[in-house]
Amino acid sequence: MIKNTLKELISVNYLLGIFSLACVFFYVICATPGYGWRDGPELAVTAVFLDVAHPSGFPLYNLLAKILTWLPLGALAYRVTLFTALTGGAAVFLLGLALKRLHGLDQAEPKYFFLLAPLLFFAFHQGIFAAATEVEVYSLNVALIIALLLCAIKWREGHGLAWLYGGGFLYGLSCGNHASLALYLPVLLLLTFWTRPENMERDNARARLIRLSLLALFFLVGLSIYLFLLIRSQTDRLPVDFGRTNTWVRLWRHISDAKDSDYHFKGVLNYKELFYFLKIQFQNLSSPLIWLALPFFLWGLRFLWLYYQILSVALVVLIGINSFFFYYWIDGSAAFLPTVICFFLLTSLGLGQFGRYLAKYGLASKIGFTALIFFILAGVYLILPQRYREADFDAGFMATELFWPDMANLPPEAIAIHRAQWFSELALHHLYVARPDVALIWHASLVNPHFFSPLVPAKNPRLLYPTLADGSLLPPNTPNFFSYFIFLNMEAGKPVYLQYNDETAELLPYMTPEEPFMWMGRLTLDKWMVDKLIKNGSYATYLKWFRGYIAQLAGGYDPPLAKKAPAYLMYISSPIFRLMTEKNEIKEGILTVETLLTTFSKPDGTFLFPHDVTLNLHAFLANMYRKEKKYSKAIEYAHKLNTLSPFNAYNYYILGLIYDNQAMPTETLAAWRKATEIDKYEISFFYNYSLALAKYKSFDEAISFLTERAKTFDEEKMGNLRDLALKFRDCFLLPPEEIGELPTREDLL
Amino acid sequence: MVNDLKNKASGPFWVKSLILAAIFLLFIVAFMEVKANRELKLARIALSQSPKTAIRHYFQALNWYAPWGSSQVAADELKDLADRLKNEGRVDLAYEAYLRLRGALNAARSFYWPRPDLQSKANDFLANYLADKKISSMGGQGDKIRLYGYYLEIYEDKGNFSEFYGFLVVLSFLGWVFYFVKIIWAFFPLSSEKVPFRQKIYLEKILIIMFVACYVVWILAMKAA
Repeated sequence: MIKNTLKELISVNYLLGIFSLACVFFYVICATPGYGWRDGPELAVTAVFLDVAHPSGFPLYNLLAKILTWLPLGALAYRVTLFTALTGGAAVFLLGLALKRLHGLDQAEPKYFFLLAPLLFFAFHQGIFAAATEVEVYSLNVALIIALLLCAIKWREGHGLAWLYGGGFLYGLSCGNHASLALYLPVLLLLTFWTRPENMERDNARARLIRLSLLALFFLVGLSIYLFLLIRSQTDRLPVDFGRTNTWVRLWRHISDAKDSDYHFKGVLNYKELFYFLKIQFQNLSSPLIWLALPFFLWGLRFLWLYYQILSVALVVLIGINSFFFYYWIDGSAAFLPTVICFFLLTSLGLGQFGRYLAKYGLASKIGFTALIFFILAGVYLILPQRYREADFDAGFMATELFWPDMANLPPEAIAIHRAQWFSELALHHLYVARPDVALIWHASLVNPHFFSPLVPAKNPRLLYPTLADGSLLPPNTPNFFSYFIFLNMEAGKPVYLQYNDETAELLPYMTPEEPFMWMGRLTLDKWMVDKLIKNGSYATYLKWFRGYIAQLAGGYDPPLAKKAPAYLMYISSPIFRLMTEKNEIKEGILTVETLLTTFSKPDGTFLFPHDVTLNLHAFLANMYRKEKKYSKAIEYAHKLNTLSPFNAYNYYILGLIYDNQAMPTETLAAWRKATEIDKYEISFFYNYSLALAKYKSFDEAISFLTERAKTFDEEKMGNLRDLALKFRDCFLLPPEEIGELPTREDLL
Repeated sequence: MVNDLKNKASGPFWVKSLILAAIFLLFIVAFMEVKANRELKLARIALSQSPKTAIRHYFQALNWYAPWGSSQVAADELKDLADRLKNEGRVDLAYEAYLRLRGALNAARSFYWPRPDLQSKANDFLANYLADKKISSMGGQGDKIRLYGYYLEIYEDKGNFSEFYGFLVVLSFLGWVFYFVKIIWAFFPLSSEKVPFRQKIYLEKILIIMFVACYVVWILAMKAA
């Protein structure tokens, strides 16, 4: 009797509520206590001060996360993480509701277990878990996508037009959380324009058009949340104003991600690689349980096709769009969360059908319990220990701890240059608050000042303007020329001065030893900074620390560190390798990388590293062996690289270098030609190919090739005019003194 | 009986929300207290051997800040440690202790700034320290009072973000979203009852006015925050 009473009392909603709350508690326990990685620190700051974050600005996230920042508990960043954990719980709850509607469950049944098991895996899926335990917009994004699906289901079930238009409004707001949702417009159209509710007797094209127009109107009202970026930026007093969205044009560029569109959507341009990257993605996601779930996924798809055809098509389209636009982001599990939602939704439906099938034979209850217990045990065994590398389990306040000691130890009145990685922004903010004597330059503002506002508020006298050696003052918003002139001054051995209040100070670059500056090769001042690092003696500190770190990993005596090491290495390896290259410590470099590959290899020959890191390590080895003049080894690694990533232009670039070193003209030209064909935007490939043409064929052919290719350059997209100028100067063999005059675009063409 | 229990369990929405929020807060408070207490114990253990490590653990305890409990004790003990280090002549360590104390308290601010007593003490020490350093780097030259005042002003600068207007931004945003959703449901009800559009506008004028008002306040507050 008690059992039956409980069954009746605990409705699906309560069960889902309890389960979601438990998920929230688990997320809170595992949440990063500090700022986490990647965009976390930036988003924490933008939520606290209602600032403008990186594209697409995330106004909805900022506005909602701001509420939790008033909670007088914990550090500000942690409160924003709490908000993320709550949205993670909301996503689980909403998915449960959607499943409930699709399953047709309205009272306790053994089928619950077939609903809860996939929900459990959804909640603790690596991507969902990571998104819910650090400051990020993705868990809110997931919750919103599911809420939109729910609106569509309710509308289709005949609960009224309000659900349709409410969904349209929510879609507008959701695009204000992550603009990538706009890509899923075809899915929304499928679910609205081509769907007729169950209780609607008549429907025609005119009625549909009216519905669509109203839907667009409500969508626009929701989308008006982006006014947040325009208006906040116009106040001109934000600590973080990424993109300076103070005009309509800038706002549009920010929302549409125009600055990085080439980079973000370069996968779409290389559509031939789609299947290859899908395979890699699937390998990254796969575990025995995924294979086990696949039949249920297909069963669920079949069930949905019969019950709600448009929704099944819409989900497949959603997976397709998600894969097509983001497949290049093989490590960005967050980018694939919409696919994850669909996968778990359909798998759950398949399991539900399986439960119904078993129920016919009176087996559902026993098998349901057994299945749940099996899933929980298998999940704990297979997923929890190895998948959550993103979360900071050791409660080390990671980012803060990385930066703090160095900030505290900066000499008085030091001038600090920090890297462009945007979480440094928060480090700078800390530095500014904690060390008012230290003058700051944000590296990003050197490289791309037109995208950023000065970090230090304008009213503060410490606003920095670089002064050239001749004493002239550079205006702040000078695109690219800013770094160009500093670079030239440094290169010429002239001291660069920074204006500091009413005094001037010589530029003393300071780098934090553990600062994870990836994207090393992409920014103008890298080489200069590395040189400085070596000259200042920081290299020894760096290397000592890195050796200890590798020893720890190889020894495996620090499990928490080793667990997150593969991902962590992504941030720390490139500067070390760069330094090793600069210092010509080739043997040590090779030994280190081969140790890493051995330590983190899997039995099936793949590696525990994110795919990008695996590629970087192989590329590093190919390069190092080339420098050692062990060409057969170098070619072996270059071929391995090609197997790992067959459509990567950089592989051919390395291969070309190896052949070039051996003076093999035909092979060199073929490899570099291939690189320019695969990547039509990377200047260094054009540069090398044209130099090889000049060297092995004729100078005229090189000039002709370059002139032809230069026509395709879009100055905005290329971003770094200085780089272009330097490469062209070399290609056109201009004397070094002429570098002082930056050629115009017309000159180049 | 089941129905009785169900009726008792299903109160108004706001009651359920409040209960949920209370459970969530209780959990957070308990979790943070456990964490802060662990760091506090580690700090006390490290106190005699390595003040630097103790400072770090106090700092981490402060990162689990609550207006009561272990984090408050950590704040007081960190200040005592900083004073002790200062009196022993270990000024650089005292400097780090005060830096972290100030940083952690700043990071714990919400609608108010916690422990202003400790903050002003930390600001005073830090401004003094930097003024002294500056003077020594200038070979003993320099106006101590001017430099001290200069640094103190920066340390005491609480930024230009207005939490009041920030609150208005969020409140008005939630307001216009709420009223717009209400408008949608009011204009497109499930019932098939046909009401002329103009009459509908008249009937729902309060909702429309509230939506517009919230939207306008949202825009203005964003400018002011």
